Amino acid sequence: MIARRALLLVLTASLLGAVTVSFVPAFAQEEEDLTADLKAMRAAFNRARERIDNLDFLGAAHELSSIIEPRKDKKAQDLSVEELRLLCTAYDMRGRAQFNLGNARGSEADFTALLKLNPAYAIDRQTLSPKVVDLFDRVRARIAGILILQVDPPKARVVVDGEPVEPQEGGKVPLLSGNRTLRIEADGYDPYEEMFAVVAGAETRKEVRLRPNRRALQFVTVPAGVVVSIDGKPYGTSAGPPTPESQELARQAGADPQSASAPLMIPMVTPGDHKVGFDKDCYTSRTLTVKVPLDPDQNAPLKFTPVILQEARTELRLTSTPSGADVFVDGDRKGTTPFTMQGLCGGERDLLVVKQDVGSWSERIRLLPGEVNTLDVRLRPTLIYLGTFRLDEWGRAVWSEDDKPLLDELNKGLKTLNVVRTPEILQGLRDSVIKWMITAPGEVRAGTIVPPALLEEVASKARADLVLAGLTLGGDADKSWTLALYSVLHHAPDVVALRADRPDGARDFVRRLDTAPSLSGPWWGMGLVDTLLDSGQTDPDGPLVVRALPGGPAAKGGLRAGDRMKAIGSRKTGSVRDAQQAIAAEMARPGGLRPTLVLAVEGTSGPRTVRVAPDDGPIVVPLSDPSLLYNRALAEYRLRSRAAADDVEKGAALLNLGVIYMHFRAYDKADAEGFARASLPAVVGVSQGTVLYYRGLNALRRGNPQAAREAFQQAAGQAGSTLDTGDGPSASAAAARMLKAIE
Amino acid sequence: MRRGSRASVLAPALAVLLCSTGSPAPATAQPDDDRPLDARTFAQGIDAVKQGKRDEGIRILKKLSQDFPDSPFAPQALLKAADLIYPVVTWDQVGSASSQAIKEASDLLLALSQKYRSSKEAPKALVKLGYLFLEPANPKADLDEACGRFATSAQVYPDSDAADDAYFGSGMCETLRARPALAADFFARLMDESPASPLAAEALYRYGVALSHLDDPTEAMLALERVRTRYADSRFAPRALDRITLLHRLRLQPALLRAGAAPKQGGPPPAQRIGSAPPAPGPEPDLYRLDVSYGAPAAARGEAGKSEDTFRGASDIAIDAQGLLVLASPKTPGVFRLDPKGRIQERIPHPSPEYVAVGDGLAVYISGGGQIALNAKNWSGPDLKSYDGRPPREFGPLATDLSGRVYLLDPRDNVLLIYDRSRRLAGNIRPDVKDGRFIDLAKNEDGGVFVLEARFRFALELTQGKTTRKVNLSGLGATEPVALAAVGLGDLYLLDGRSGFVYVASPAGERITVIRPPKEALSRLGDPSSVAVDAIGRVYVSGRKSPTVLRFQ
Repeated sequence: MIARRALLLVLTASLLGAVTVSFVPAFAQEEEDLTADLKAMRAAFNRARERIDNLDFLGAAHELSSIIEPRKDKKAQDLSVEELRLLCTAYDMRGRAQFNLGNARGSEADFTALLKLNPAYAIDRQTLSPKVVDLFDRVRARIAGILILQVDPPKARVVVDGEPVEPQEGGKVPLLSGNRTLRIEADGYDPYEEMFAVVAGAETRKEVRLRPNRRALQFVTVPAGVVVSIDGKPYGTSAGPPTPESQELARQAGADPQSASAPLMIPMVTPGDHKVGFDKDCYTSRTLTVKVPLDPDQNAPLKFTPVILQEARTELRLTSTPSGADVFVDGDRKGTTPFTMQGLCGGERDLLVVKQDVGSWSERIRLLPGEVNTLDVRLRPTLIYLGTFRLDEWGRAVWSEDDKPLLDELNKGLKTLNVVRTPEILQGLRDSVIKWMITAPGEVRAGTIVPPALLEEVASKARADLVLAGLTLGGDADKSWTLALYSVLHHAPDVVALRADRPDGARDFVRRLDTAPSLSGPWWGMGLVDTLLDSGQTDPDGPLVVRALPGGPAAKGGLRAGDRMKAIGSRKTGSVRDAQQAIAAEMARPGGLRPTLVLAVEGTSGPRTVRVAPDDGPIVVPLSDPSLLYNRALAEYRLRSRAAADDVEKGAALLNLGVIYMHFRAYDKADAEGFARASLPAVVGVSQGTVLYYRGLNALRRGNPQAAREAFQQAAGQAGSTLDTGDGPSASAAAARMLKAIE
Repeated sequence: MRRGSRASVLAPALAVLLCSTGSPAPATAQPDDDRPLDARTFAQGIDAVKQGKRDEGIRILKKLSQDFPDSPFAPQALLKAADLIYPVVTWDQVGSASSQAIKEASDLLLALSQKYRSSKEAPKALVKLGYLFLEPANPKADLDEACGRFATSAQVYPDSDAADDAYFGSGMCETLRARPALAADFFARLMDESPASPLAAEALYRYGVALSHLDDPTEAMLALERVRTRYADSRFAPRALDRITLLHRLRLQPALLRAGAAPKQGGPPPAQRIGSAPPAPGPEPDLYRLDVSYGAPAAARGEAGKSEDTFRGASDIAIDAQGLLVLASPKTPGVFRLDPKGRIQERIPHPSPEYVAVGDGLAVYISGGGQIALNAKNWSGPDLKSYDGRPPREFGPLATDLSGRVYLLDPRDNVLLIYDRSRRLAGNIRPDVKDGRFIDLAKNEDGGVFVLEARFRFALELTQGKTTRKVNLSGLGATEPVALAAVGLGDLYLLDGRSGFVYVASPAGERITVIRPPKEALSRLGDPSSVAVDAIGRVYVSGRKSPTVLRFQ
């Protein structure tokens, strides 16, 4: 994709280059023509001036005619500012030259033409001959009058016959005689317009006061730094230091004058009702409804009493599982959980809860000001998604954008994982992957997306537990997409095959990724089977109870091996499947309470009712389950083993940790980090016998039959221990079998 | 399929997609063929096979392996050629290969497994070699050799595509070697490491079966129930239910009855313990009752019987793969298959049937009249050889095993003759005691064959045609043993011709119980001739002169 983009860029650049090459001469030619005309005008003007300085008035008049004649029929608005200035000066100079040559009529004609172009043209009265000045004034008095304008507000724009004019000193505006349209405009005022006659040689006085249609508002806030918005749109922020006026206003309002802001002027607010908002972190926001009247006379700002915001600090109460984690707010360490922080400003905050060598929890959260914000977080593993890479048809590694469905899902946020989103870290690691792929294409072909060295880099730089990376292959027609989930603890990934054109696959993957494996679950301690050996009765006998673990929930309730299960609750149970469905239905009852199963059973002594309340006990992941992301589970169990609240939880986590390492055939790690450290009570269900069994099995797989034998011998003595769950196979029986197998 | 090195899961996909970049993956035909000669030769061989020129394909592939021994295509060519010669890929396909095919395939696979140990074809070659060592027609057939190949493949190549086959083969081997604990471990390992394997359902079933031979019936029953839960639609689900029922009847029920009886004062003495525990004297639990609705003559059921709808006595009975009773009636004459209620479902014509055995599906082997028939056809032919090169002198009881061997007892020569599927004599066994006399054969559904010696009252268990165990039945109390039956648990059912009682013995030869038919039933039966047991442990007893078969359940 990058290559294609680069190619596109080159093509675009080439096309632009071609376009530029073909068009530049045309632009240059046109520009050259325009400036040449003006340059010729300036040159002629300079030559004329030189001739006047040399008293060559005839030559000067000739030079000036080359400027004037081509433009004599043009109006002021047809000329550029520079042209108009040069043309007016040319008329001025030729008029004077004509005067000196004794051609008073020609001089008068030039002054007339000059004033028609610019009635306000000011002749040099200091250096010119008084006669020339007199002639000029007489010409002006014959064709132009003067408008003397007094305008309120003074900075209003004056337009005469559609052309803006700039009043001279005293508000004088020279105008050609005749009827003129005067228009005066200013922001915040209604425009003024009238027709009037300019009498040649006369002065016309006009005083115009524009009527305001907006009004300025003036606020003082206590404290300063308050964001002020009008009708929801932020206008500005009040700022300090306070002026004496605002201090006085604050004092009168009973507030601290030193905390007041300088007046904040909000100009040109339309008349009527407006909502004015005042917001500042750590303070209670206020909204005022103000009625804005116009002030035609003074048009003074509408002033308000100081807006005083009450300080509103928030309180953050944070607990974590496990406790004792460091709390960082916006990057600053604030304490250790359980943690209460008062006086914290509300608003969005980056919250990081981290416990060294255990895990972390990070989110950007919004603290509500003035309230107690309570958070109970469970530390969780951290994931980094490096991106999806592509090996193109030439075997080159490039960046792929086929992962949009996955990114969409990840961006929705994960409940059970932190996700590293720091752009610098991500970019650096992605570059490393591509660089590695370029240098080691053989290893990529052999199935490695992220090499071990890079996993260590991820662990150190991003502090991530899990690394996700994707790979697509072939051309656009091939949509196969392989995702590999690595743990930084070892090198074998979970590999998931998706299709880039099936977003539901990415959704399902993220759902699996965001599922934390359980450490415990309900169990009954009973085993049921169907059998064709019946009592010969008409009614089905129901499944046969072949096991009721002594000390287990079923046995405590009175269930015995050999009983037939006739019904569970109100559901008849003709088979094991019926019983399983009935139990599932009972467990799914709303309310969250663990139900007590009411079993109708028939034993050798006749029918009876047995009540069984399930226990909650550890569960063990299977050694191989295609639906499970084992590295995800590894990260979870590692965290749980370090964050466990009690010995049973810790033992169960370590047991599962060992099983997962076994899944990856990392038998040494399975023992060192899992089974050797795991310990559970010697009770029924998943217990110490389970640990010993797996310890033995792992030793056997490691090639240490002696250690396996010892562990199996111990496990075989742990009657009542089970595998998988409390309802799983007997661990002691399995260990006894393994002993036989070894022998 | 495999876990562990997950990178290896990604590699095949990459290899296929990157073949244009120089991967040594098998090439497919290309219009402009600029591939190396070895790749083209391999493609030629494959093309020849696709065009139906099997022999030509084999020749080309063999030549490739000889001309290009260092080519990456060499191991593929060897395996492909071996596959064409010996197409067996699963355990239950073993038994039909000719000796010529066995030799040719063995040579290729041996070369592959030794020369190309690091190739991905090597573990598959080892598994196939294992199958070859189980072939009855293989003169080098040897269970230990087969087990060794499977174990090597499983241990050396645990991540290969053939790992599940290797574990399964090892499990089956250990089952045949009567090492159920080890067998269970191999099956468990398959389930642990390849839960998505097509063999997973059968592995779980076999795991349960292996456990059923150990001392903990509860674990076995729960494992078998898991077959029914996880693989409800597989063919092993009903078989699991049968085995659960058998365990319930023969293991759990006696234990429960014993436990229930123990506290009672004045009740019957506790039943004899099973397994390796020391025997405890005393009467056995009453585990069987006569099914009065089964085996009654048609007239007794009030149905008008026609001559072809009944049989006049049954000299031998057996249970077929569907659980139906098959009987030989020399007096009728004919062979009959009865439905689940004991009514005649099918009649197989035969002029003088004396003994019957069942094979796969509906196959019925019939012995008598100087021949062995397979259903209505003569199977033995005119040239079946006995141990001395002559035809068997007398065609007595017979049995078959899972590999298709046919076991024929020649009572006149007192020898057990073992034939492979192609009727070649694969072995013979005589009583190893002076004056010993073989009188009957029995087969259980796990493939074990038992031969009953009447004088000293013992049974020999044969696995893959070889004696693996001797079970002493002299302590059961039978005075005139006439017939033997066996169930998958290894329990033996000995019919006493004098009393009509059936003595049920554990695999160790200890008495579990005695089935004592009521006098009325015994009188109907007349001269007890044969006993059979079905997969759920129901016992059938026939009489040579009686049109009645008794069923006990």
